[in-house]
Amino acid sequence: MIRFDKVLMVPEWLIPRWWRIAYLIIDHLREDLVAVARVRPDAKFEAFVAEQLQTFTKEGTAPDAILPALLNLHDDLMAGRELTMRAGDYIALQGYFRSRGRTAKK
Amino acid sequence: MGFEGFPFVIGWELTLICNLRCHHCASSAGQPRPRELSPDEALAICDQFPALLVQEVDFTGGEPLLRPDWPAIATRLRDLDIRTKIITNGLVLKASVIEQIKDTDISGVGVSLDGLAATHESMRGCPGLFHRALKGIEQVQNAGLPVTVLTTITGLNIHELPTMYELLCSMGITAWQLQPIFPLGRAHENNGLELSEQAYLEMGAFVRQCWSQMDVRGLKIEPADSFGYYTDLDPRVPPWRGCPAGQLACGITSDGKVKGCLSLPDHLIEGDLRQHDLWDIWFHPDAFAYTRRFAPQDLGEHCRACPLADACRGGCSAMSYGQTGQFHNNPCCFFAIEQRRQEGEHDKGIHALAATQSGDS
Repeated sequence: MIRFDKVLMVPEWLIPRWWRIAYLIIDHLREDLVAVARVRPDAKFEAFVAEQLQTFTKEGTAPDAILPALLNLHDDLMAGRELTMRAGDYIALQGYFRSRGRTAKK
Repeated sequence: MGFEGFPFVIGWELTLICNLRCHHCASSAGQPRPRELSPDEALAICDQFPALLVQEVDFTGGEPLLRPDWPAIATRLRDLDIRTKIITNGLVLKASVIEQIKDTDISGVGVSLDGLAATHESMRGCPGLFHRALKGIEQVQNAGLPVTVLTTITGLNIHELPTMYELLCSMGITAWQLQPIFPLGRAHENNGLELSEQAYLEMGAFVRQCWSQMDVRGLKIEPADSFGYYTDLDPRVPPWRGCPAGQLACGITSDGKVKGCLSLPDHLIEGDLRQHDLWDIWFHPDAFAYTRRFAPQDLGEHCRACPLADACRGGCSAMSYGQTGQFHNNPCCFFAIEQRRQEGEHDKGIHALAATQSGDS
């Protein structure tokens, strides 16, 4: 766990229902898909990200595995940009969310 | 950095049950697989798609309309904002089924037509099928649904393509997908279906000609992934950039197995959805290694010397595997054929010159 100084609170209404996932990697394939995909996140996953983002902004802490993703999200939100999640950040968040679910089931 | 692609398009074999036994069927469809997915299992799989950014699911088979719960699956996908299309042989396209297709917001219907009447019915072993398929197409059109005609090009029907083109134009068809035959499944067992090198080039020339008339005639030609690559005969823009299997797309079999593409043989499965989530299968570090870990040294003899191999990666995985038993080794390629022919002409020239110089001409 890495600790950051406290930063500004992100109001929940700023986290949009639809996310944009920037697809940056597969540039040797079809160019028309190397852009952005829209995704409507599952409610549990959305709540998880919102919770992690709030914890990060309030307390400056985040699990190592998703810290870069939260930093990028936080930058977008604070700058008032449309939330565009890098594919790698999205995968990291989903991966952490899923591993947490699996741990909880055990 | 791990793999960061998503399966934007999923081909879903809803059932392997089929009411036909087509000679060219790469899936050898007919009987169901043992333990096909239950309705609940199928719906639970749908629910996994949004997290993986799935944009489109194409129902195929077997004959997907023979799976009784296909409307429930289509409805679930619609509710998840995922576009759904269906591919059918047209035999069960009656009014009530078309109504269900409309009700479930299926966004496109693909109907197979593999030649003119005698050829189509001979390849599919069903007298009267041609006119039933045409009637089904007409009904789908009348219902206001987009229709794509799908044709597997074989040695039996290649010379019928121009007549088919005129027929489809006269029917007001606006999309025609052309798929060179894969030597897989039943197609592998039936001689006479394969395309010769010359026929492959003729197919390319035909597509090129139709492509140039697209705006005037209104029939859009949609070459399949196994069609190409990199010469004037492949007019697609942007040009081919490697097989999407395991990169942008995957296939799900009717018993819940995941492959890069449904056209690939069953022993190339990457995982079982009864044991793992699609997410875990898709992002497993060893998944789809044949494409995700591609390196130039993987290129087979047909592609090794190709100057375009970095972008192409050996063409369509299923065609390459069907033709040679290897990935990245696809002899069915316009560029490769033209190169071979030029080299052949060059060799002939050298032999002729050598023969002249040695005085034995």
